[in-house]
Amino acid sequence: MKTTIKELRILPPFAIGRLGSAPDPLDNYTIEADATAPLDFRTIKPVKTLTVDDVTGEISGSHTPAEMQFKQDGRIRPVAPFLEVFALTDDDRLVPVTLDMLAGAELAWRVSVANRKVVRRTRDENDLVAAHTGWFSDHAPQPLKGFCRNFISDDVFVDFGSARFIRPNQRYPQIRLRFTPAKGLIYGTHAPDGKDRVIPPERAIYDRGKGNWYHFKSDGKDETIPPSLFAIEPPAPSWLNDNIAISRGYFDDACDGFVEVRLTLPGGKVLTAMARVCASPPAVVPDSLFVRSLADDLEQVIHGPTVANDEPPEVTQARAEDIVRRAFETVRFLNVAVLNGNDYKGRSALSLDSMPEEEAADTERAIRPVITPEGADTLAILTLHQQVFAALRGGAAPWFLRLLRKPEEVSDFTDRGRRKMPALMCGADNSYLALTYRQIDTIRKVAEGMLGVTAAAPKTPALTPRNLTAQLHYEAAGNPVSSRPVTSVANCCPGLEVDFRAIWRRMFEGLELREYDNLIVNADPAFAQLKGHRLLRINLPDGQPPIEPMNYIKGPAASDPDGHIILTTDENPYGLAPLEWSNALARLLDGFQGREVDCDISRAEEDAQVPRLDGDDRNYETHRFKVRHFFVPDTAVISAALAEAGELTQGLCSPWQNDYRECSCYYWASARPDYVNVEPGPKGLSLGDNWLQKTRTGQYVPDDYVDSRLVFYDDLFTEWETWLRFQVKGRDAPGEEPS
Amino acid sequence: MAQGWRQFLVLEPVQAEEHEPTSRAGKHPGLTWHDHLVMLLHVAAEIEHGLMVQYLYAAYSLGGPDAATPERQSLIKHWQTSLIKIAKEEMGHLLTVQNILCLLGAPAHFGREDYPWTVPYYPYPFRLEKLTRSSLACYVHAEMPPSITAMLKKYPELSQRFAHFVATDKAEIDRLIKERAPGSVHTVAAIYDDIIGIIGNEKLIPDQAFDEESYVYQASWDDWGRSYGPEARLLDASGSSKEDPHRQREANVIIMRAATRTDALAALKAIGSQGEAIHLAPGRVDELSHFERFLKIFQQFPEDWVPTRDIPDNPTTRKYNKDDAVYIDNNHARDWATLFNYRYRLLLTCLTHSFRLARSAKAGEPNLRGMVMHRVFGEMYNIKTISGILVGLDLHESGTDASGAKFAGPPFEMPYSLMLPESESDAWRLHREFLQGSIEVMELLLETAAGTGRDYLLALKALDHKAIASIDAVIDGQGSKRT
Repeated sequence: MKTTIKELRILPPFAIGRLGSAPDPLDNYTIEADATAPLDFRTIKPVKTLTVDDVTGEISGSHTPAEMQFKQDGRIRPVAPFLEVFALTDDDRLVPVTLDMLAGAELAWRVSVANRKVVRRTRDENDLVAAHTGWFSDHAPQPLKGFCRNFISDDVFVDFGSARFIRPNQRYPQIRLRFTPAKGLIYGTHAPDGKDRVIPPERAIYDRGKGNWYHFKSDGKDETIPPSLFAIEPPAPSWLNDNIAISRGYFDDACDGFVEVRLTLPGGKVLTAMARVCASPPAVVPDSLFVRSLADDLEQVIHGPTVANDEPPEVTQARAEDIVRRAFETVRFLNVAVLNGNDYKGRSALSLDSMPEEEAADTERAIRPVITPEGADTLAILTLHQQVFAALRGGAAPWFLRLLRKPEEVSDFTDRGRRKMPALMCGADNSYLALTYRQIDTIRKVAEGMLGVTAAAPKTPALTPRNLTAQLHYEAAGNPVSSRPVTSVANCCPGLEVDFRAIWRRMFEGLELREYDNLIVNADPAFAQLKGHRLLRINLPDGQPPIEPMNYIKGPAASDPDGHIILTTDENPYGLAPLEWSNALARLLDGFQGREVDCDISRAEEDAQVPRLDGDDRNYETHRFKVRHFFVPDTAVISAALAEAGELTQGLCSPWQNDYRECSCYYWASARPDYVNVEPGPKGLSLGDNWLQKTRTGQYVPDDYVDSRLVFYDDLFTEWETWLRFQVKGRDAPGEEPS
Repeated sequence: MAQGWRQFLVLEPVQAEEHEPTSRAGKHPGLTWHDHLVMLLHVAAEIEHGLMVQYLYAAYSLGGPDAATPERQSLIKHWQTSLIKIAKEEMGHLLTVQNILCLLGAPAHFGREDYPWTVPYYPYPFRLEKLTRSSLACYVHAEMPPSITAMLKKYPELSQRFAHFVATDKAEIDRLIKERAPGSVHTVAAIYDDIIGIIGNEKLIPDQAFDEESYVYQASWDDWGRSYGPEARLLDASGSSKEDPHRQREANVIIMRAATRTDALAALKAIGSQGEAIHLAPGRVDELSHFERFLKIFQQFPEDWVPTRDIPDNPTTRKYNKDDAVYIDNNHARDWATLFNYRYRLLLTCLTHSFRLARSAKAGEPNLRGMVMHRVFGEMYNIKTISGILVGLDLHESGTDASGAKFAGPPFEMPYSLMLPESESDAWRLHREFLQGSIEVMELLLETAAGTGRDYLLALKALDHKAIASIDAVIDGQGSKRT
């Protein structure tokens, strides 16, 4: 019986490419926890890798490598994901589209990617670097040439990599496209009067006569958080040098955007589908996962902030165990003593970046370690996390629910608040990281459920038209796990693969919010008067509690250890901190997408956070807005209305290599480890190396941003493929130079 | 564990100032007042330790076939949480007593005698038993404010809250207690009255007896409290509370340090009254005292279904041949119970060691004491997990025993000694010995274990091997010539 195609999908709906200049893309691999060694690192398992014939564009065969090689002759192998076309059939199945289903039909692809990092800073749309392939049906690589009005000519471009419609053949008849990201190169400003020490002439293409990126200096308005996330003229970093940040005019070949497919059926009916791609830095810790990944946030959108009552207990148990596993996988790469805010070998903790240091700077208070300094050591804290994991595996109900930080508690800087889990790391709101509501509810459900439930074995969810989770996690043939959202740290400040905060800015039709707080930075003409105002409350119908996108910053009272005060500063007179959108809006998305809600918006433009006041002091007006759909209906593709091409990466560092140098809050074990080659030492404490210290000595070099023993800015700009050393089993991977 | 000093406990009725008459100890002429005080603090430590494990045992007993409905599950989860919270608070008391011992220049004491247990001051005979109305009656009575009748008269607003207790429960509790083994049930606070009386008397305990410098070595809430404390109150700029004084506050694990006699008295009063009295102060609505929490469970405890598993009283791995102990004769369950005992021993050894290390550890930076403290918490998790496994394992190779017990339970058996070797490297070797012994038992268990038990053993074994590697590095770092 002939199958009728009703609709199309591209799976996975979000594919992560990873930059690298090696000629051969990374082989396919997966990671597996070893049931017989449950505390060990996950095992990296090479799996069936598809080989694309360069000439014909078809898959010529497959192989399974004996072992993974993440670098090739010192160059990092890019992750080049495949995107497969699926058909939603008239009998309500989701099946791969194959050559034989296309008789008489015409199929075409289109890819649009962009880099908006410079636009995000300069607010000049002429700084947009964008590549469009136009519709194509052939099987040649389609170069993704990123052109920009502010380049020196129309002929120069940023090479964003390529897209290729893989030629189906008898053995591999499926319809798929491969996105090959760029090499990870840095581009700069054309300098006729001198040579830039990092940028070769062929990549010096930005015209400083047209645009302002070269020597750009922020006016302080609508800055990113953290601010000045770009390469600056020495001395750097800016916060050690009077906050002077003058751009070197660098930008990179990272990007994000859309892959679209169009199928014209014999009768003339046209079906389309799309997916998102991004090109991101390499996953340098391939055998570990971050405690809160992009997948966690997307699953919260799909399923809501709470776990369904009818979810089988063994499934919830498996997820709870996975969360705790990822927690210890994250802790493992943190130098807990340093990130706790301890003084280090007599040096003040203020000279070393950590969340307590950030907190002290933001609140203009003295720095305080989070837990007692005596107990802050990586191996001990790791062991404690692993004990929790062991207990869960042994059927004990989680007893630590009250120790998990609630998303509304992220700005509780009392000791009680700061010691909640996850500790010592930064979230998307620049306060302490919290799990998603859904992750927390997973732990709650297990805690309140039956004792002794055995976790369900890992299982690939059934791919059906309505199973968006299965679509989100879809493992396309040949794609390594590092191409999937589960390996992305997204919801951080700003993130690495994508700046997930950017998604939420246009959740209300007519408004554009800032990615990290409630300031209205743009509005449709009907609401133009609201620009510069703040969203103070979202009122939910049906008797649900309202959503307030900020909370007070609580800190210890100096006069009374049993008391707390609101931490105010001249810049933040009410002592309010924004709450990251992903959690703050979780209840809004759970049932109100497509509906209208009333929002209380400040009457006046407000530079700083203000509380919502009622009565005589009432300081808000109520407006009604329609809530957008997060996904394209019936798919797991993040709606284009929420973020255009380039907007998912626009808040990230420019160039991305800068982030590895400046951000040492180490909250992303899978991409930015801190503590490596860790072993027990003779004093009962851990010994190891800073991942970014050049010479491995077993003596951790604390990061004060100026120590010459550490990899520095230009080292990363010119030799990032050497200095970003892959970690396997917590140690420098085989082949990485020891020093 | 034999305690030679018990000979000095003179069993003479003593009329307490605040509490009802008890058979508490007078001072033996062979002891100085300082000796006597230290001995009483040892007894107090043992009481707190004993209460803690009894409450834990009661908590782990909850479950069983009758409790399978969601409503019943919810109820017993609530009770279990409540019991474990109280046990944690007893742990806080235990640590506070160690701090007072430190202040008095006396050694820490984490021992206790295995059952059967009879010591003056002990609120009721020590017994590991599942939660029943009878055991709850003991707990309620032991934690009851001695002058509750007078207090209810004084504060009429409390009368309604305790109306059912006065009308019905009290008599029922008295009846149930009488049905139990001979001997009266005392209140926990009784011993603290005597200790407070002695410490508060400058003629008996002079100022020089208090070692102010021990303060830095003492256990702190910061180190041990793990956030089990009340949320800080919101203060205004002048330092005054901006919150409703009647706001409900959470239970508090009290771990108080003491530098002076005044501090010591405050700490002892705080732990002595946590069980019975805080909630009775007018105008305060803190989380319920131990007394009231037990009373609530007592009032909710069903008579038409059994909320506990069929586990025995006083399970043991040793063929005691004593009436009170029930031998776990199922080999598999006994191996788990032996593993439990190893972990219990490791916990107590780490606790003891942490107090000794406190004197040599450099404050303000990560140190071995901090690491040992984390291990204490790790072992608490192990005790919780293994208890959960044990209560699901057959007690006997077949059938039930005379008491009807079908499943095993955590034995909480005390080791013959908690003494640490003199040298640090030997102390670490002792840790290693226990870990190696534990691994041997796990290997035995792994031959047959399945499911969650197997998963847990694999993880724990891996953790123990890592711990041994760390200990080896420490021993090596201490320059010991022996490995």
